[in-house]
Amino acid sequence: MREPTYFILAALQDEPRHGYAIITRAAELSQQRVTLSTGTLYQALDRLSRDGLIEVVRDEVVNGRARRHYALTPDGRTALEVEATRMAEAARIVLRVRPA
Amino acid sequence: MTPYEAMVRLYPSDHPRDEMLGVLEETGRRWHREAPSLLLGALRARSGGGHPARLRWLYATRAAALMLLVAGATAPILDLRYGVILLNNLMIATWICAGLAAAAVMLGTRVPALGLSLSALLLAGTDQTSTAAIAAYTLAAVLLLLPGPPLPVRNPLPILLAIAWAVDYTMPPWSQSALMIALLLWTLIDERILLATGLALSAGLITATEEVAAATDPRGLMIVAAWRLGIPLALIAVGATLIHHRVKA
Repeated sequence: MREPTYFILAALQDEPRHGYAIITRAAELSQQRVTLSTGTLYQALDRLSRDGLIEVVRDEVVNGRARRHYALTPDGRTALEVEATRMAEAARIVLRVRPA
Repeated sequence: MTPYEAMVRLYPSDHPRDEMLGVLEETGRRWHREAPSLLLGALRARSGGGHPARLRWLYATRAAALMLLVAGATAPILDLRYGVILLNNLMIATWICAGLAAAAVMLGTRVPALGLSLSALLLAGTDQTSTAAIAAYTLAAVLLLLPGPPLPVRNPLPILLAIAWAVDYTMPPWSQSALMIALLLWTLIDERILLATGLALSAGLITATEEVAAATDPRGLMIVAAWRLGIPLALIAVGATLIHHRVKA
């Protein structure tokens, strides 16, 4: 899983969010490392929806513009947790305290 | 119309264009920062390049079959033009079958395309005027054996590349260069045509047996190997790598 995808899924782990909220949350979680452009975000959202990792849970109109809220599916949550575990294990190899 | 509105209109109508526009307004970034990914996303959405890996490979095989049918039909034209062969009824029947097969591939109807490709192969095999055409129809029929959902090939680039490949040295160099540049630029959006080109050029391996027999020195053999094996393999490898990279979520 690539880093932007990881942070898009991570941005949705607490609650459903709309496009702009995903961008800001992903930037916040990655300490501003992942600043998604709108085109990149929607390509990823398309792909993740098609793969069944996220779904649209709410539609609304705000300031005359359509707005959809995206949420993790059970498969999406599992994929995120598997990736987090994989990265944590990889990090442990490097960061473990070695005996003196 | 603002630059954002113009760019978002490039996306297909079933895309959440209004929602994207809302996000673009909320982020308030300068348009040149958003433009590259918006343009790329729109072209990818239009080209249908967002399919999973298996369908991308399948589309590449269909596009390769289209290239081979066009190249096979174009192959005898140079010989006809220079009077090496004479026009006959078998050749006209072959063209009709190949043309209809190409149209069937463009419409995404595989089984009729396969039947017509086999007919073109049988007719070309009976006529025996062009080894290149026989090789092209053979590989087209083999590629069309692969089952799968209808995947229409509506991109004109494979047809232009196939004609350029078949008429080879009679094309002005600038037009060949322009096509190569178009292929490379299109690969940034959609890797399937590059992959299809590699698959289609593999038909050269069938005709390479004659070239190997005619090669009299090791240097000649090296050139045949590089042209007939190296280039198709390199294109397939690059296309496959790009598919793997782009499908990875």
